[in-house]
Amino acid sequence: MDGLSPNRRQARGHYFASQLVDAGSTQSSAWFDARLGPFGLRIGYRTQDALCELILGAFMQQRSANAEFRLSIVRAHEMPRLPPMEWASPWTNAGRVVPEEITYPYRVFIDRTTGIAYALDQQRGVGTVWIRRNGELDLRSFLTPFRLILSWMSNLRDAEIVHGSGAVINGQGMAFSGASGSGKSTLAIACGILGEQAISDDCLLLYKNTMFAVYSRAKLTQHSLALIGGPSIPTSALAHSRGAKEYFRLQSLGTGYVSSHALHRWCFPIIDKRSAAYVLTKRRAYRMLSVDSLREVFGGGVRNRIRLAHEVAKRPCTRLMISESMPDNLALLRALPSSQPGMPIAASNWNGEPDE
Amino acid sequence: MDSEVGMWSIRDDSVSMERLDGETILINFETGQYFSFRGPSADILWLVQAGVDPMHWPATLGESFEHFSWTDQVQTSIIDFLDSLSELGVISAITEMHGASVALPDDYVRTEWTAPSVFANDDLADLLVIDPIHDASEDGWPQS
Repeated sequence: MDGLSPNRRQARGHYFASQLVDAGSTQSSAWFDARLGPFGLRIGYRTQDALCELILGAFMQQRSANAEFRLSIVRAHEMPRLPPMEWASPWTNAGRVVPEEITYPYRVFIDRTTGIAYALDQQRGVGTVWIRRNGELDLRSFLTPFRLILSWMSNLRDAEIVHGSGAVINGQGMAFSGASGSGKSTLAIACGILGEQAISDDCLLLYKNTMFAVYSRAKLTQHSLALIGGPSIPTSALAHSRGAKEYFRLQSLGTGYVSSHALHRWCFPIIDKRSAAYVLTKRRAYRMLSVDSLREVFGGGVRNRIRLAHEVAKRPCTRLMISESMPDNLALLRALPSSQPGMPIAASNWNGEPDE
Repeated sequence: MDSEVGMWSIRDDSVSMERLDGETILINFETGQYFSFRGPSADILWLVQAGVDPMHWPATLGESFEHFSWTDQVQTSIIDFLDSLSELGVISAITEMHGASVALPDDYVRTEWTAPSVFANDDLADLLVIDPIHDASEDGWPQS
């Protein structure tokens, strides 16, 4: 530690956060009205360039200017020097969010890896992200930007953002959760292309038993697109970013896209040789969902854990083995028993064995 | 009247808590029980967490709540509250305190004092005893 007393660290943390939040509000000269699930989000900015367009393009636009939250984007050339940060060095060096008791009612994270500093005033729902110089940035992290501060904002309304994709199959809302490479994006997009509906790739916002899209775009590899088949989708790729996935707007799926739906089931996909499913115990599902989603908010807090436990406890949880045959995978999903009482169980390949 | 409340500390080894807008949410990972404390209950918990010597509590609470007086009744209600928290494994008795007096957070509108109370929720106990973030196998996190 650096020898700062708790009171002094708290005072410096408050100064840093208030300066950053205020700078965001005063620097912004243009505003973009977006949606964060069911909530309004006004995004402020001053510099309108390719990076700004990449960021704004990730969000869903809404016409109404009524917004629960405001988020300002401040660039390094607009605010070359951040307020002193040495008070936060134990957490910045460790890549962790500053503990809330130090910055309360603000939340602060200084991410040296991506070169972004986040500050949110939780009492006003007003936040700022400060982004260092363009030349030092990895643009891939701006395809679905600022998850952390969006997650903090959602938490203020008792909503939770989880790392997952979503789809509607036979009227059943299904959330696919899993680590990168587990097939959750491919599965959701396949639903949207092959006759069902995709909701979101990468992040879902859960609020009052409904899952909402967080971002307007989805990321996929060409291999995944080839596996899915069906009509081609116009995709874009980041310039000068080798190995980056291609991306497209979910709305280009037409009727194969819907921005929200009731959530009926948790699914945890894993790539396998054949399509199959089995029941997951709640404990196993909670562990899998938490490891993946709380990591996204750098450990997650007490409220995050309780919300995720509630979400898992009240819905069926399924392990999905998905194959390279998307029609087989869709047939499997369509055959999953309805979570609504009184519906017949139609699956011939449904295996009800618990995994623990 | 001086405080005769004992000295306590939060059991940080098994408890995690967060405060927002005057409400503190707490999980006991040993039992899987979770709690919501509001108003005076959250404030007493704040004083324990901040390590404020109970001798300062009457003055701190007096500055915060309207018409507050450190009576026998108030003191008994606080002692009962802390005893309940101890039985639930949330706090443990200590013999020394070094924390300075601190003001209560200005995060909700305080009016009249009401006796603190505790209610344990255990409907998610089976899940909340798991600590997926810190439980790790020999392969390390997040392979566990």
